[in-house]
Formats: sequence, structure tokens, C-alpha cells
Amino acid sequence: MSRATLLVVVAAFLVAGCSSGRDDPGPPEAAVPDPETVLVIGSGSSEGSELRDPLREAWPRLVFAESLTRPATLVSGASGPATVSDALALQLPLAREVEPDWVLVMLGSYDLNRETPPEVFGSQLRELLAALDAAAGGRVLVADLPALPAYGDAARRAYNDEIAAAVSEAGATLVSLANETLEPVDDEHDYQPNAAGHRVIADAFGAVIHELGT
Amino acid sequence: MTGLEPAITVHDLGHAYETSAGRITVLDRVTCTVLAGQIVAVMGPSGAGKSTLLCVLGGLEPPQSGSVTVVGRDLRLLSSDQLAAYRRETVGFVFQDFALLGQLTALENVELALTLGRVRRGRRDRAKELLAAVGLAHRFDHRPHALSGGENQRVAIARALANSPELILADEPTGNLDAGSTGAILDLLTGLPRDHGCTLVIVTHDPVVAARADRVLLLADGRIAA
Amino acid sequence: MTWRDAIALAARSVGRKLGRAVLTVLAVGLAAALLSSLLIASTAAQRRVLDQVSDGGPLAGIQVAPAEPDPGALDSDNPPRGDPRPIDDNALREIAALPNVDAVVPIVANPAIVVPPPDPLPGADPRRRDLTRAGTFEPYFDTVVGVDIAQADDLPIAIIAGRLPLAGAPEAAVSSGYLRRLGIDKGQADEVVGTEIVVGAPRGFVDGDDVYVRGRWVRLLVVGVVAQELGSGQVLVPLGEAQAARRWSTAGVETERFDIPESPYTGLFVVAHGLDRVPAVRQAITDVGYSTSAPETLIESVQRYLRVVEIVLAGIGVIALAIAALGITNAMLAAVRERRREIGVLKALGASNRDVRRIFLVEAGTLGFLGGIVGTVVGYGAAQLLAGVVNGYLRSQRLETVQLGLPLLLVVAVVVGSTVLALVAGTVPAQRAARLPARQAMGDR
Repeated sequence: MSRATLLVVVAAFLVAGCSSGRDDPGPPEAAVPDPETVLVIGSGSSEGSELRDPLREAWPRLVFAESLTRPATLVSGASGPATVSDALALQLPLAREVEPDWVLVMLGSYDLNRETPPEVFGSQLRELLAALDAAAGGRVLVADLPALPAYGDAARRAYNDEIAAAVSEAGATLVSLANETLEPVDDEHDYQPNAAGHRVIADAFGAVIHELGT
Repeated sequence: MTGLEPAITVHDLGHAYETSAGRITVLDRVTCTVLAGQIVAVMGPSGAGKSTLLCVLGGLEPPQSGSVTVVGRDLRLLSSDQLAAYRRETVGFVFQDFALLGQLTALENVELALTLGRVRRGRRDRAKELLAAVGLAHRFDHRPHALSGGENQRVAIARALANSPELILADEPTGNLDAGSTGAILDLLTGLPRDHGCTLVIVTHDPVVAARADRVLLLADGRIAA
Repeated sequence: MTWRDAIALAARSVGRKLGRAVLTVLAVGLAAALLSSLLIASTAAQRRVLDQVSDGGPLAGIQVAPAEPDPGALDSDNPPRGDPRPIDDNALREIAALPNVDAVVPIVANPAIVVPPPDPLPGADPRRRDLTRAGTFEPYFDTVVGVDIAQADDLPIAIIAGRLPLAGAPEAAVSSGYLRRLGIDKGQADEVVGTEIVVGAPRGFVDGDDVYVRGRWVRLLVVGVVAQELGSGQVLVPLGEAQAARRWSTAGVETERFDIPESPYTGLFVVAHGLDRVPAVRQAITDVGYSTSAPETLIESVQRYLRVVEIVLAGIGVIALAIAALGITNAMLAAVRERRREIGVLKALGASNRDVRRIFLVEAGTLGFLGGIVGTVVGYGAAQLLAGVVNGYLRSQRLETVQLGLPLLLVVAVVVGSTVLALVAGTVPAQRAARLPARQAMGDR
């Protein structure tokens, strides 16, 4: 190797070994599918306020964590002792605001608790589902009522008939819990299911979501 | 230069050295003429001034008094750089101990003379030619320690011829050689004026060497005795 | 004789007395190694210290708060704030248009409830967790901080595990405070990367006479851990996500009660065009009407101190080189003495005084050049060894490690410097050689 070539090789080696010693952070842009928005309409029962770990064990949380294949945002409209009438007033506006891809509805326990006549409950539910359909444009899933010690059996069945009819008329999808018997979270809150009960509800919603496809 | 013109003209040349013991006169009003193409042997006892004469003729030292003209150049008038140029272009030296650079090969020793002679291109080929001409075509890449005395002196002669000098100065060129090599080196040296058109001055103790010369200059006590 | 020929001859001559040449090169090399390792180490230390002072961000960074400036304290690094003043898009544009502003990074923060993974992660200290009644890890109140990820380089953010979230992706980075909450050591930060957290933004709403809270929740994949505390929050998200959360929260009632910031941007991080422009930019932002803070005084005094240290270290290295240079002078004077005959012969062959001087200068320069290269390589290796020891200590203290660089400029400077020094050292011997009388060719008589 001639001397000149050797010098060039040595110089190139030195240059290649030189560096400033800093790392470069700075990630590129993501190619992320659009997230889905899930709106939950319901009462405190759906929030699982009496559970030991409500932010993880309540059925909307389980559905949110396990049943959606795309990134998702969960908007929780459910709260307090909400009846269908309360949902119309306080929770329906959320549907118009967030334009959800999925609406998960579970109402009726507080209506039952207040002994609202089934036909009144049914009429209000129809109003709610029609407005949800107009506002959301997404899929509306409505659960009927499972058996809980606090629910009278006859009243529950009447409510479930109203729910089935309203769902059918609105073109929504029924999530059937009518044949499920759940345990309450405790004696004081006997119309709120326990963690196992929330799991049953979540699985039922999850099965329907899976069937409809995300 | 033809044979009838003087190559070297020395007139009243004087040279002395300062030592701790005082001033020592080495050359005392030396006058002589050497014709172009001649072979001149310079003989004399030790301390006679033979080497000093060679130094002055070769431009290794400027003359202190008198005049020295070599191939038309007055050496007194030359500056240090001009003397270097004179040595480069006009003179070729052959030393008793060969004076080759030990770290260089035979080829590189000859090339060095060409480099110093400001030859830019074709140095390698020219050096090979010169070494081949002295019978060392098979020894290009040998270093001096791997060559015999005779071979080393041949390299030295090739080096001396590198820049086509008009004057070859040889200081006891066979002094370090065995009898076998002496004859060959003498043949080589004495053939140079004929083959290269140069003038040869040899300092020697050896009458055999002197016998090959056209003229013999005898120096004694800094003067020409004969 | 040309320089190229002189170099060729010098290479042969240096090789002739190889032992002496090697020793001389080593001496220069060691001195150059000392100089380069000191400079490399001091540069790395300087960068590290300044990184710490500026929290890993650019030195010329200025934090702009959504508040008016306090007229009484404009010159300090961290002045108290005046009355609140929201930063909106107009303010952002106005500040971005100021002269000497290189970048403006908006920051949006929003209160949040963070739901970590339920079960303890490997390596977590079980005593350091808050638990729910179910024995799972307790969700907690916090703040999410959103920044424009594309401008992450301009922020005082240092990643200790994983990476930053991608813009637009459901990802987040967490701070070392989050690790502490989970009972995880900084050294095991990798354990949280790849886990999922759920983060909810609150919104107040009225039902009857009371105000309730409802949430907007997102699932975020934890992709990295940052060393710094993110202001009040421990979750760093892309700006879009924080803005969406803020839009949700501010649409509710009683925003003050939920600590939802009034200002559209919780703050700005402004990068000035150089540390010397920071005071001017701060003044300009103050004139726009916002309070700023920047560690400029601290950085300046640290830099001054570090410069002194650097000069002292360089001085030590230079002294070592000067000693090596004396060694070159000594070695070369000996060489000139030994090679008197050779010099005479060169002159007999026609070398001028200048030729001889050139040959010996080139020999000296060659020794210096080789010593410089050896020294840079050895110096870098020594600095790496030193860094290895230092990093071992830093790791044991759960601190960020240092990284060494070999700047091209340093390599060139040390090699050129060694060569020049050797040339200077060789001047006297070269001159002595040049002045030797040509009659030395005849040998000792």
C-alpha cells in the first residue's frame, strides 16, 4: 500500500471513530388507526361504585380493556341513581358531543327501584334510543336486566319485555342478561352486582361487540 | 572538455587549520594543473595535505588563499549554496570506507544522489542503469551490510557517477579492499575518464594504484614535491 | 530536495534506530494521550454538568409561565410570578415571532386519574405501594403533560428507558416519580415499558343541587421512562391527547375546583438562539407580558468555572508535551552528533544546508506526528477506562451515565499540535546539522 493510501486509510478510520457522543431522541410520526369512542349510558350500578376496585372491575372498564380491537376512548356518562329520564336529561347530550362509535346502555335498576310503570319506562327508553340513534349514528347496545335479589321477578320480566321491544323498534342490539342470576355486591346495595356479576355483564357485551365486529 | 584543456588549475593554494596546539598549515602555495580526462594520483606521507587538497578540489571547503579553478569555476568566489551546487553537478566522490547510508539499499543510495541532484523523474531507472553498468544488477535491494567490500565500492562509484560529474575524486578507494577486489575496482575507476569523459584524481598510498595514473603528484609538508 | 523526498528519507532514518524512535514516539504519545484524555474527560464532564443544570434540555431554554411578570424580580433565574395570564395561540405566535427565538414548544397539562396496572411488576418493592381493597394497585390523582413530540429535542427531557410516545398514538412516557409510586427502582425502569395505563380526564356536571364528576378515559401504552419530573405530572403524552383531555375537562363546570388550568397552554418552553441571547429573549417575552424563568445565571457561572478547569487540565497536558518535546530535542541532538559523517556525505553528494535542515526537521515532525496519533488513540482508550469506572459509580447511585465522544477537532488539534511541537523541538538540532562543515564527509582524520 502506498504511503499516501495509508494516510488516507488512517484518516478515514479516525474520522469514522469520531463522534460527538450524544444520543438522538425524537421518534417518527405514528400511523395509527382512528380511535373508537365508547359512550356508557347507565347508573351508578354500571360504575360499580361499591366494588373494591371499581376502575378495573366495573363492566364498562372490562369491556374497554378487553373487547375493542382498535384504540378507544371511553366516555362514562353513567353515574348516580340515574333513571332513563335522568339519562335523557343529563347523559344524552354527551352522545351529541362525542359522536360515539359504540353506545353501551344499561338502565332500569333505579326505575325498578322507584317502581316506574313498565310502559312508562318503555316509552322513555324508546325516546332515548331514538335520540341516541339520531345523535350517535354508531352502534347502540342495550342490556336487559339480570336477576338480582333486589328485583322483583315479575317486574323485571315486564321491564325486559319493554327493553326488547324498544331495542327492536330502534334497530339497536340487545345484550341479553335476562337468564343470568347475579349476586349483589353487598346486602346494603343489593341491586348492584358484585365483581363476578360485572364480569358476566362485560362478557355479554363483549360477545355482542365481537359478533358485530369493530 | 578535450584532453588539452586544463580541468583543474591550482595556483598558490594555501590552507591551514586552527587547533588547540595553534595554527597548522596543511597546504602551502600549492600550484598544479590537471588536464581534462587525465588520471592523476596524489601521493605523499600522512599529514602531507592530500585529503585537504581533495576537500578543496571537491568544494568541501573553500580555499583560504590562492586560487582554484575547476572546469572554469573559481571556487573562491562561490557561496555556501553555490559550493553545494558545484558538488552536486560537477564532482563525484568515492571514499575509502565507501560512505554509503546503511539504512538504504544499493539502489536507494544511488537514487539519493539523483534526488539531491534535483532529478525529478526516472530516478529509479537511471539508478538501475548505473548499478548494472558497475556489474551489480543482481544487488539492487541489498543493504551495505549485506554486500562485500568490493560491491560496496562499486555502489559508491555508481553513486559518484549519478549526476554525470566532470571530476571524480577518490580518497584511498582501494584502502579497505582485499587484493582480489582492488584490481577490479581500479579497472573500473581508471576506465571512467575514457567511458564518461571525466577527470579522475585519486589520493593513494599504493604504488600499484599510482602506476595506473597518467601523472603522479607528490605532496610533502603541504607542498608539491614533484 | 522536496518535502516528499525528505519524508521518504526521514522514514528510513527513523527506522534505522528503531528503539530510540519508538521511545521518543512513546514519550510524545503519552504526553498527547494525557492531553487528549484530559480534554475528552473534561468535555464529557462539562456536558454532563450542564445537562444536569439544564435538566437535559438545551442550555438556552426559557420557561414561560401563564402569568404576568413580577416587575420586582426580572433579573433572577426563577422570579416569582405575577397575576395569572393565559397563554393562547396568539401569544404563542407572538413569542415565536420574536427575534433570536429558535423554537417554541407548547405544553398542555390537565388533571387526570391514573389507573396503573393492577398487579405488582417484577422487581417492585411491595411495601411501597398503595393498594385498593382488592389488593390491586390504587389509582391516583395526577396531571398529564402534553408536548409536541416532534420538538422533544428542544425540551429538558432525558429518556432512561424505552422511547418517547409517537405523535397521535395512544402512548405515554412516565416519569421517575411514577416508578417510585410503583415501588420500582430507576435501574429497573425497563419493567414498566410495555405495560398499559388507563388515564381519565375529569369533567364536572350538575345534577340537581350537586356537582358530580364524569370521566373521559384512554388506554395508553407506556413506551418509555423519562428522568425528569414533569412539573406536577408523571405522565407525558403527545400534545393532541392532552389537548383533547383539556377540551373535555373545560367543557364542564367548576373547573377551578378540579384544578383544570384556565390557560389553553400551561406553559411554553422557548429555545433562544444561543446562551448569550437568553437575556434579550427573556426581556422580549417579558415585554409581551409573561413571566419567564431560565437557569442562565447558574449556567454562566458553571461554564466559567468549567472553563478554568479545562484550561488547567489543558495546561497540564501541554506541560507534558513540552517535556516530551525536550526529549525530542535531546534525542535529535544525539542523532546529529552520531551522524556527523553521514551529514558530511550528504553534503558531499550535493545537499545544501537547507536540504540537511529539511531532512532533520522532517524526522522530528514524523516522530511528533506518530506520537500524536498514538497519543490520541491511547488517550481515548484511557478516557473510556475512566468513564467505565465513573459510570459504574453513577449506575450504583441510580444516576445517568456519561458518554464520551472523540471530536474530530480534538484529534486534529492533538496530532497537529504534537507535530508542530516536535518541529519546534527539532529546530535547533536541524540547524546544527545544517551548519556542520561539508568536510565531515572525509571522516575523522
